[in-house]
Amino acid sequence: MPSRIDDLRRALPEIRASDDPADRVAYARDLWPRHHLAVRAGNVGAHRPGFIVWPETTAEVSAVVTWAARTGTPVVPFGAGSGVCAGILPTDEVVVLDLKRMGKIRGIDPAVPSVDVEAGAMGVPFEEELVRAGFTLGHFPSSILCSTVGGWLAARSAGQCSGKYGKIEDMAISLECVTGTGEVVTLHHRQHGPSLVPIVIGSEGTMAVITRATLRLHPAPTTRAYGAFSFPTTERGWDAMRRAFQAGKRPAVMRLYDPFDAMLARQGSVKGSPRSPRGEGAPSPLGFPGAGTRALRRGLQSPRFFNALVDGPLSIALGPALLVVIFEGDGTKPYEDLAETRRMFEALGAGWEGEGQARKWFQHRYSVSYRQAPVFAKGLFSDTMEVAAPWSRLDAVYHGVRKALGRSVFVMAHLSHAYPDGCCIYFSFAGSAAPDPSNPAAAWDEGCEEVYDRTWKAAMAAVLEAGGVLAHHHGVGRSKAPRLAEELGGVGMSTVRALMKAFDPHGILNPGNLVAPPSPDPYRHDASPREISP
Amino acid sequence: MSLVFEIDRESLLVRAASDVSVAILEESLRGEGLTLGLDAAPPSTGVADWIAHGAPGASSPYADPASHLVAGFVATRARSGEVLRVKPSPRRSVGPDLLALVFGMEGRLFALTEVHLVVRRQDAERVNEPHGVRADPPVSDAEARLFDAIGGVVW
Ligand SMILES: Cc1cc2nc3c(=O)[nH]c(=O)nc-3n(C[C@H](O)[C@H](O)[C@H](O)COP(=O)(O)OP(=O)(O)OC[C@H]3O[C@@H](n4cnc5c(N)ncnc54)[C@H](O)[C@@H]3O)c2cc1C
Repeated sequence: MPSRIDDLRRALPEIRASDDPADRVAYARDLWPRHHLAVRAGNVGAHRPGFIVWPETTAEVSAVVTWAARTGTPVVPFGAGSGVCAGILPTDEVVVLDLKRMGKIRGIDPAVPSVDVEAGAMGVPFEEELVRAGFTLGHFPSSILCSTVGGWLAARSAGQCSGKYGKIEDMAISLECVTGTGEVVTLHHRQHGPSLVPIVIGSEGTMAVITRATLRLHPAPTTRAYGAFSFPTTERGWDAMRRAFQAGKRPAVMRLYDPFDAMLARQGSVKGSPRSPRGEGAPSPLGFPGAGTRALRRGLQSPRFFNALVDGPLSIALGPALLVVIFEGDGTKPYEDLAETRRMFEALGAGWEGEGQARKWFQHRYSVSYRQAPVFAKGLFSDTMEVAAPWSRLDAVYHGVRKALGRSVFVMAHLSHAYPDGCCIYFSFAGSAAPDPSNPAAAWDEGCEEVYDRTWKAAMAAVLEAGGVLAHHHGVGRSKAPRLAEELGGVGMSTVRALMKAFDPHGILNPGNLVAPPSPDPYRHDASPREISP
Repeated sequence: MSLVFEIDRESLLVRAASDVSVAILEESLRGEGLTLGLDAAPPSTGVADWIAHGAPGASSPYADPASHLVAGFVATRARSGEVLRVKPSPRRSVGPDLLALVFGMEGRLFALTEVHLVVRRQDAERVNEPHGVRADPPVSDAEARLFDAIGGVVW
């Protein structure tokens, strides 16, 4: 019997395809941190796809999907694989459809202004080309170096400048998609009429392959005004953020760090400041100044104690919460906005810290995300959880999730996406395997996996209980899918399934993603080395 | 239904029952120093009907990308009467935005029973980023087919 790839090659000889073992391992996962535990344990290729295709045109995407619908082959759209929720978790039945060979800008319309861009465009070269033409998209996820336009849309991404430019869903004007039947359809945003654009945005590869998008642009800013403020508590800081957004201020960046995160930001160790270069007094795994790995591992085995220390006796030493603000635009407006915001914040008891911290943040704005590898290399794990809620529920969500996470991991937080009606809280956490006296020989990575799963389960329950939403911009994937029914309710879930059926009647697009129970099961034990068959 | 409307002042959200007139809601909000911030005079229709017809008079979402009109809602499925609840949140990333099955859909799939609208303080600075995005392009045949397919499975 011919293999599926042979069948595809016969049917579509012009499309580049590979089932090379190295390619299959390279496409075996996204960047869900739990996968890193498996990789660390030596289990690198447990979820390999059958093969990978690299179409170059919408017609080729349509041909692949049509072929897949005819043969019943599951298709997983792939941007850059930077998703962090197991949205990409193939089986050997799956063909991964990588869109990166479709990365061209097809045109810029300066009158709107807008850009027509292919979905596989990578963040940095895309934005650089826009800037050369005098525009910006205004979308700067920390993963901009390793993510695509299609991935941003499919996962409802948020960039660091969401305060002025909104999230990716606020930028989309139209989407060209290939549905699960292979049909090419262009969906349009409508101000006063029905639109399917908001349905495909956030569908995480389960309803259509996004092949092209028209996105709203802004003139590239010519002026930036920077400022930083200290607040005695995180709560006082977010109250100031709320007041600023409700007064109509739209800073591109307004980021509030809790005292621990603020201490790291001030020292620059997490932010990659020149004051803590690698090599001489290099930053420790989490940026804890001077903390040795062994001590850290031990400390993280008693996270409750560690968290209590930071919230209690150490809190005075840590210093205040830090709020970083950047206004951008044209002429003197950003400076005027900053001056007014400063007056407002000082009246609320904030301390003005000058512009240095904001400038430093801006300079190192992408480096923080790449500090995860050293954490894993030291035998620990880390992850982030980004949730959202109206302002009136923020306190309950902040304290509820912090408490839930704090039982098994060390936790810190910052708030970096604010709106007039609410805010996102971004928790960062780090943990370690818990010692098991009954089984001292227990494998370390499996132990980490167990703590990791327990942590997420408790935190997801806490956010839902406090009235927040499970995710603000990372999506659901398979990792949060088991809790999605509690988020959307039974009718919400059945509606999402019905939408999947309408777009993809054969159920071939990323099956098992965004539904409960997810498949394949993302929580199966993976952190033990297994033999890889060729 | 006992709920007419309720204001969450901290979040600047108003939770309104489906049949509250937009004009009356706006008048009541103004009494509280708040406003829906519409570009046109508020219609006398109920909020559910207004949303189902695409909220005529509401300003373009591209004018203030960080704000939005509807933060959450409760709706019943037109055919089965089952209840869909989308809790208020400034933004979310938990799958498709189900508001699209209500907004501008003229009640074909769901009937709104309650809505959480974002309101503004009357003294707030008005954000109005210039843009030339076409407001309401016509629905193509391919889009219409998808709407029909959705109508065939969402009930
Ligand atoms: C270090 C780091 C920092 C991050 N920072 C941010 C951040 O600041 N903001 C943020 O929003 N996210 C962030 N993320 C998460 C991630 O980058 C985003 O989810 C991003 O949008 C994924 O883009 P991608 O191209 O890598 O998509 P992938 O990971 O390849 O895919 C993500 C999902 O979308 C689907 N998909 C991809 N392309 C398409 C397409 N063309 N059509 C249909 N479905 C598709 C996939 O099937 C999958 O389900 C970060 C991740 C990392 C590792």
